[in-house]
Amino acid sequence: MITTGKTRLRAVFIGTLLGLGACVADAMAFESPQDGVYTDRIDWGMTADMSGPASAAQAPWGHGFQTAIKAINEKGGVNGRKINVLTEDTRYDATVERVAYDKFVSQTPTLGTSGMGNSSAQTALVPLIKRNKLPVIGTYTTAKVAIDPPTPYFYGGFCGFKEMAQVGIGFFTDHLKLQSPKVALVHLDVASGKEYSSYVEAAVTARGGTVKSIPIKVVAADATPQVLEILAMKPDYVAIHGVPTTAILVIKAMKQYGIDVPAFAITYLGTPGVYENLGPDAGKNYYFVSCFSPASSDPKAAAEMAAAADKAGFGPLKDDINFVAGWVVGTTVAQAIAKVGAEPTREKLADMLNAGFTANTSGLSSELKYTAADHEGLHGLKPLNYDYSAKAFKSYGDYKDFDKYLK
Amino acid sequence: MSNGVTAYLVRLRHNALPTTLRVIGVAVLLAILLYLPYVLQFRSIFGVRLSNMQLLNIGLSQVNLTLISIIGAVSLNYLTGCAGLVSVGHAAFFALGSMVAAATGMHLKLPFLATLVAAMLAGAMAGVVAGLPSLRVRGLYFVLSTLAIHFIVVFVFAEYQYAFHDVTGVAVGDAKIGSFEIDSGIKWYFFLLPITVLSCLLMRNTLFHREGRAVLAMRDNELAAAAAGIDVRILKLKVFAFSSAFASLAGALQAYYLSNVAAEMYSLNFAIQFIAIIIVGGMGTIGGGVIGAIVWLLLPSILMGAATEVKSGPGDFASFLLAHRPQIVNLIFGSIVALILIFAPHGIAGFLRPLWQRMIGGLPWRGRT
Repeated sequence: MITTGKTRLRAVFIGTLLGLGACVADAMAFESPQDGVYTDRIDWGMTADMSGPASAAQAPWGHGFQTAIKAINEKGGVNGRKINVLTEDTRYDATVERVAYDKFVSQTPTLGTSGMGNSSAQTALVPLIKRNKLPVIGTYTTAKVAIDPPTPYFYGGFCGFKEMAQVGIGFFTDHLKLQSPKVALVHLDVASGKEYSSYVEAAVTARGGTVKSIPIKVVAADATPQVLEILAMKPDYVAIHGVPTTAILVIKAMKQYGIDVPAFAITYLGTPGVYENLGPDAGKNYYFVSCFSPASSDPKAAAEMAAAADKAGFGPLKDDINFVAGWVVGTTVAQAIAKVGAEPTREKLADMLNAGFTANTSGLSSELKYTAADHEGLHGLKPLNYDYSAKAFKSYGDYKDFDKYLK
Repeated sequence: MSNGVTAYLVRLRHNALPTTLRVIGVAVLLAILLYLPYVLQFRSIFGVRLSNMQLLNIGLSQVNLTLISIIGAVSLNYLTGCAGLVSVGHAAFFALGSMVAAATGMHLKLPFLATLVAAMLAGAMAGVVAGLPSLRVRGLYFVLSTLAIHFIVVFVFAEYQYAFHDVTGVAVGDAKIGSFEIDSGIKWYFFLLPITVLSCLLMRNTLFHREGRAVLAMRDNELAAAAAGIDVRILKLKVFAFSSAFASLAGALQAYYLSNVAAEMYSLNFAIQFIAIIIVGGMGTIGGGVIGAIVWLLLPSILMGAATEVKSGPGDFASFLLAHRPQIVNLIFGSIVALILIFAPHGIAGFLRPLWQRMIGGLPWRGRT
């Protein structure tokens, strides 16, 4: 039996009528969305790669954020309301990030959102952030297009690659008393690696030096080819961009080939796990630059965070730079909401930040300040290393000591 | 034509429902499809507000992206399931489609619809090139050649991106048809739905024509098909071109939907995801690609929504579960997929088909023509 064209048309007509009727009924029943603010709670979105390829770094960030909010809620919340964190695991997938963002805009409306650790997804979301007016406060990475010029409703929350390159190159060039530094840069052959490479090149060139970029794969299981290039170049020091495994492979191979020069890595690689894996012999030459202070580098400033981490079952993470970064963003979000007043809205929150807002990060980071012209927030960084005998991170000065390198 | 194919076609006709039921079925389905975006956008049905979990934690974005993925999955199912050409490089055509759409839109200033056509043409041409190894090698060797295509395309994409655009990706222009801009979830839905339905119908209907039957025959027994007078070499290239054109269309649509694409997005994981979708959904049927994409892309969200409802629990173990929700959700999702593969080796579509036939068989119209 085959249906005739007339029958098909009839079906389509009836279906269309039913569908249109339903649409009209629903559109008439539309209620304006609340900004995630309820009588007893405020919903806040958080996206991070909690189980995907970048989860080794982003999951601790997520745990730090959640721990901060939990600690604030235990103290009574913000202006009488608890903050309810709606977590979305984006698995470092741009499409999932987009879905999560849309979810926070209207599906399960939130007052704002944090995280967004995929720079490609962030770049794609910039037009939507402008249109949907959902504040994004404290991102795990900050795409240049989002802050230059500042995107309304977007506020960063991590050290920038440009500042990492400037402080790292400036400090090591002066520390080693070099006139024209020779720098080897090992970087991932991905977008962020190329971006960092351009900043390192600019910083080294400004100091009259030379730099050689040596790409490495994110899935590399051996850094011998890269280290042989370093060996041939005989650099004064090495800069590293990558994932924790990259740093471990490069430093260990350098040790194996007898290359005894210092190396500094980007903030994301400043974790106790990297130092434990390297051991004291290889680890003594490994530094990183950071706008956050691990708990052991400043126990007094980190006392509250350490106690909350222990209580939440994340004690081992308190020295992880990513956990600290998540905690700082969590406390910043709470302070921002508190400053808006008893009845916060998305618009009020963005207006307040745009007018100028400085967060109290209790010394766990450099100054976190947003203005109408600056939505990046964090700028100051300092070099750190690990003291194996004390089992603690050691910083080489205060953040302000290195502001001279920032251009 | 093999007996299996004939039996399949005969079965399709014999199992057809009577006219009245078909009319009601199509009308209800159409009404649901028309109403769905409004329900998901306004989170209510006929004015009754629904909770997030009542709507299974699904939003309009997910549905739109699923519609795009359905085109990609069905096109891979056409290639792998229907033609028997196993490819792990299908994401390459996705990437190619997005790159061509971005490049023709930005550099040549082609309008939106023209960039989609350009992406399909580029996909078809690349598909012919990708299909060339199939004329010489078979089995794992051919699979490896498709893998090589994946890496070549992603490399070219990355070089293009770094040379002409930002490291964070390639910005894609606005999706505009004349002065009408597709700039909201509902507009995208009503643009994507007919494209997806038409793509699926087109691929399905080709299987009922001479070339399509030859494709099925080639899958069942390549030697027998050749002996029956089918030029399998040309047919393979045609199938590759046809399937890749749709994959590129999906890539171009995704690029416009996301407004920015980067080479990093098209990883091997992305490629493997499509293989998983058609295996879970059911290889060799158009419905398998559709069901697979829906399950693969929406089920994790449903599970995550359910997990979010669990606010607290007693003891350290409960705290551990709450702190590691995403990992637990992945574990459950993986277990469900494993169970599907064990108990439904022909995918969900393969599992549902006998149930459907049994249901039809129990009704009085069985066998009516």
